[in-house]
Amino acid sequence: MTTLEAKRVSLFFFFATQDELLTYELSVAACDRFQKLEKRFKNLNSDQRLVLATQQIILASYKTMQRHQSLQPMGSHWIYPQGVDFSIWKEFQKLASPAEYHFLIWSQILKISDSDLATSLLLTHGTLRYRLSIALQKIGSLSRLIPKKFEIIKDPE
Amino acid sequence: MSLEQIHFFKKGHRKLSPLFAQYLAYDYSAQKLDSQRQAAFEQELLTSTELQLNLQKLQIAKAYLDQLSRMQVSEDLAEHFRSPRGYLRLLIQKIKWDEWPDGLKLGLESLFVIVGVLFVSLLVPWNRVLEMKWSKQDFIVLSEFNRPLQTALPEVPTAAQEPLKFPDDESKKEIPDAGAPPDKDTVMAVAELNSETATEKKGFLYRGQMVVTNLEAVSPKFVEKISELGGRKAGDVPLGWIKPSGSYFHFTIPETKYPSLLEFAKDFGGIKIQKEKHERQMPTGIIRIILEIKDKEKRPENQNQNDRQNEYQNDH
Repeated sequence: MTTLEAKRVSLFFFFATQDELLTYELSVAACDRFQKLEKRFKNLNSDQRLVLATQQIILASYKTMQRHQSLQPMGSHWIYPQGVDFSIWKEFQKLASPAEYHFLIWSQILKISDSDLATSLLLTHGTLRYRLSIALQKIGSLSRLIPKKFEIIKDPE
Repeated sequence: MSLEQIHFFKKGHRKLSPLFAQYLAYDYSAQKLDSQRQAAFEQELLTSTELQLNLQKLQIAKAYLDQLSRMQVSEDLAEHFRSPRGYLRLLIQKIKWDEWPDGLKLGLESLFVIVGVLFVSLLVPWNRVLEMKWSKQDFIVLSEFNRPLQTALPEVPTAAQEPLKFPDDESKKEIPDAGAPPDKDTVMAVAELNSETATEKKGFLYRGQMVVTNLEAVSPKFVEKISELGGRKAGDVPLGWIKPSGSYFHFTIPETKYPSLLEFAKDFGGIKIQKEKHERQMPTGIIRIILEIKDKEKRPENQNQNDRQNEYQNDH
């Protein structure tokens, strides 16, 4: 397991749990699980192992996890991007189901491809895109993100 | 034949329904539509305000999540997460256990198991384990049955009134050796003592004894008379059961017929009947009688007394 993979694992739990201690605890467990998957399933690539390890650990920790805690800066180990409002993410987590924001973390934040995601979660591509579409529309419909007078945003092309 | 060559539409026009266009919004924003689908979607996009709004939501969300994806974690923390925890894992990593040959690993694992088993087998005190009683009871219950209720003892006088006297003290002094037959006084004393201690005895038993000259002829007549008076046998043996000491009658009879039975018995000789207290309580109007008829010429007197004592003990 590389350091970059450990970073991505910890980022998943950072956004999923919003709790510093829980992020530490679950990241350690997920890294252990990732290393076991490396030995056991050598046909999986890194992204697929990451999805499997994080999903198994987060599902096992639902009973102990406390959701919707305040997303405060968690020490000097976490480097926050400038000008990003984390309260929107917190508000989105209240609206969405855990599966929906897990999909968004994997797909849009960790940039795992739809193919790897569908393979790891045993979903069809159509199901995965539909769920991603629903989750994206939920977070996009938050009032603070939508301009009052919208215009058609054309593609960069 | 590729999908491009299949003509699903007429005259080169591939129009999307509004509902289907909604489903394709994510694919359009991710640029995963083919050229014809993309053209059809853009044509629908020009006319549908709702589709424009949904597409804008998707693009805004993606832009926001792109910003979140710039979040970084320090190298130290990531290194801490991926480093092994625990002395065992650290040792395994140091000695590079995974790179060892499988045969060597299997042999070492087997050796550890054998050493562990030997260690345990030497340390366990097997003598104590084998002698350990797993149950506090040192007897085995083969079967269980309900014992009859024991009669309550009479009240013991207090020390202030008089010194303690147990009722069996005197009887112990009077009981002769076990080999010798007890005399009549001893038997009667024990009978009286038992009748006194059995305070809860509510029923009565009529025990009679008579001596006749011709037992073989008299006994059937008694059987016939008892049956005539409505008597029924009460024990296991039939009426007039012949035993070495005489004939044995154990039966129940209506209480109103009791005088008739006495008059009938007086015709054959003297009869002695004693009313005793007994545990068994008979229904109202019914009495239970044990009558023993002996032959005067055959039986000696002391043997009759022994039989009397044995029967008395069997009944109690």
